[in-house]
Amino acid sequence: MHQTLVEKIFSRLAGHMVQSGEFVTVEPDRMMCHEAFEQAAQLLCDIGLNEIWDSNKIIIILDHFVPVNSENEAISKQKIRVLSEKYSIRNYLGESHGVCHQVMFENGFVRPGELILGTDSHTTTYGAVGCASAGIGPTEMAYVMATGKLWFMVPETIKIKFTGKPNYWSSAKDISLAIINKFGNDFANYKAIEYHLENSEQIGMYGRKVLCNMGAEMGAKIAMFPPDGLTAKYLCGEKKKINMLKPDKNAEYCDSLSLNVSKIDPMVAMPHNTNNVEKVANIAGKEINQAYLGSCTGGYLEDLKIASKIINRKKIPSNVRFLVYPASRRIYIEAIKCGYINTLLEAGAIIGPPSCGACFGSHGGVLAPNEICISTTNRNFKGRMGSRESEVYLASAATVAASAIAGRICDPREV
Amino acid sequence: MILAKYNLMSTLHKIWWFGDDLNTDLIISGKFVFSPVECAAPHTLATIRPDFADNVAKGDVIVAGNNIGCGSSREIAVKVLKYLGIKYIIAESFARTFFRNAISIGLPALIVPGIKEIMYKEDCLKIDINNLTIECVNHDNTYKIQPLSSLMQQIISNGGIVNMIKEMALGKK
Repeated sequence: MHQTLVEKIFSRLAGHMVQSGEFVTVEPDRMMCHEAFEQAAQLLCDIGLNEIWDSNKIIIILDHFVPVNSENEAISKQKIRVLSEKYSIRNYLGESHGVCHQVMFENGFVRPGELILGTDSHTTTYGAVGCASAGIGPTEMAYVMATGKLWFMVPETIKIKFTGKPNYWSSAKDISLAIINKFGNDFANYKAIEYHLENSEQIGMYGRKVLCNMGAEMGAKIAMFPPDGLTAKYLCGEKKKINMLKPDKNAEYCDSLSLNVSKIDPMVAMPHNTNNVEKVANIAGKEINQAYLGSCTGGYLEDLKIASKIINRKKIPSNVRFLVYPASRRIYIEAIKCGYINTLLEAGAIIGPPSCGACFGSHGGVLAPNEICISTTNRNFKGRMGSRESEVYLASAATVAASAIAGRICDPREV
Repeated sequence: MILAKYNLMSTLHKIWWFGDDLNTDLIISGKFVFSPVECAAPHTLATIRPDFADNVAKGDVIVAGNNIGCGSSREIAVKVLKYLGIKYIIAESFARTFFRNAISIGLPALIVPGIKEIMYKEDCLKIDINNLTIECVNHDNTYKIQPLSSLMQQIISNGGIVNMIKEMALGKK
C-alpha cells in the first residue's frame, strides 16, 4: 500500500497500516494548550481526577489576553497556574514567550512525523516541518489528559504542487489567499493538505508556516510540507533523533492541484470572509484607520523585515494607528538587533507585546463602528476585531506596511 | 441511529435558518472565548441575529448551509447553542473543529445534503432521528440525515465525552 504522509503518521501511532477513511483511536505525541487549559483542567478537577496521562507531553503557552486586561482575566491566569501545578505540567511556559505556535517551534516541541493536538484552530502551523497537527476543543483536551487517547478519522489528502519561483512580492500570505480564491475556503474540509515543492529552496520555513497556518482557512484538518533538506537544516539544533517521515512516491491523493507561484500579485481578502479575495491593485485607495502587523500568520521576523524596508524613514500619518505585535519574544529580540523595531518606532508604529494581540478583537486594537483595518492576520469575519460595523482586510506584511504609510490600501510595489 | 432513549417518532422543531459559512466568531464573539457558558449565552449570534438569544426555545434547531462553524475552534460556540436549548445542528456541511466540538459535548451535528433548497421557506421541520429523515411541513420534500459513525453515536448517547471521562475516573477509584 502506498501511503500519504498523514496515513504514515497515523499508521505509526495505530501500530498497523491504516488508510484514509479509517477510524483510529491513538495516543498523540504532544499536546499544546493556551488559555483553554483552564476549562480542560477544571473539568478534570471537578470530576475528581488527580492524575493525568502524561504531564511531560503537555505544553502550556498563554497568548490570548497578554498581559491581562481585566481582573477576571487575571483570575483566569491565576487558576491556570494553580491547575498546571496540580497536574505537574512540566512545560508551563507562562505569558512571556509570545504566540503559542511560534513558541512551540522555538522550544523544539515540533518534529516531523509526529501528531500534535492543540486547543487552537491554527495548530495546523506545525505542518511546516511535516508534523501532523490539528486543533481540538478543551473538552477533547480534557479527554486526552485523562485517557491519553483520542479518536480520529484518517483523512484523505489533497496534494498541492507549487511550480515556479515566488517573486519578491508574492509572499506566502499572498499565495495562501490566491489558493483560497481559486479553490474556496472549505475545499480541504476534513482533509489533509500536502504541499509539494520543486526544490527545498522554493519556499522557506517562514512561508511554510504561513501556508500551513492558512490551511485552517481552507478547511484543512492538517496541512503539511513533507520534510526535506531545509527541514533538516531548520531542526539541526535538535538533540533528539529526527524521523524524516515522507509520503510514498505513489501515494493516493483524493485530489491533485497545482499553482504557479511565480505570477501571484499582492492579494487581499475583503470583508467579511476569507474567500472574498481581490488583487490589492484593484481596491487600492480605500482609506484605513488601522494597520495591524502581527499574529501566527503575520508577526514573523520576515514580516517585520519587509515592513521596515518599505517604511524606510517614512512616517505613519497621525490618523492611522499602526500596531506591530512580534509573534514571539525571540522574534522581537532579533528584530531589535536587526534595527527593524527602531525603524518601525521612528515611523510612528505602536509596538505591542508578543501575543495574539488585536487578532481576535478583545485585547488591544479593537475597532470602532465604521473603522477599517488592514491586517496580516488570518480572519476577517464580521465583528472579528471589534465593532460589527467595522471592516477587516487581510493582506501580507508588505501590503499592510505600504498601506500604513499611505493611510489607504496600497499596493506595496507602488511605494 | 440511536441518539436518545426516547424520541420514537418524528418531532416538530422550530428552525433558525442560516446561510453558508456561519463562522464561530458570528456565533459567539472572541470576547467570550474563555467565558463561562452562562455569561456568554446571552450574546449568542448577537452580531447577525440580535433576537436569537432571547427568543430561542428548548427543542429549536439550527439549520444552515455549507461550512457551518468555520474559523476559530472555540468550543464555546457549540456550548452556548446547547445551553440555550438547541436540539440539533443541521447543515449541508460542517467545518471540522465545530463538528467535533458539537459531538464531544453531546450535541448532535447532522449532515443533511440538499437541505439548502428549502432555506427560509419553512418555519418548522419534522425530524425523525431514528429513521434519519427530515420532512417539511409546507413542502413535499423529505431529506435524508447522514448516519453518524457508531463511535459518535455512542458519545452522543452518553451525553458527551465528559460523562465518559467520569465513568472512567469512577472505575479507577
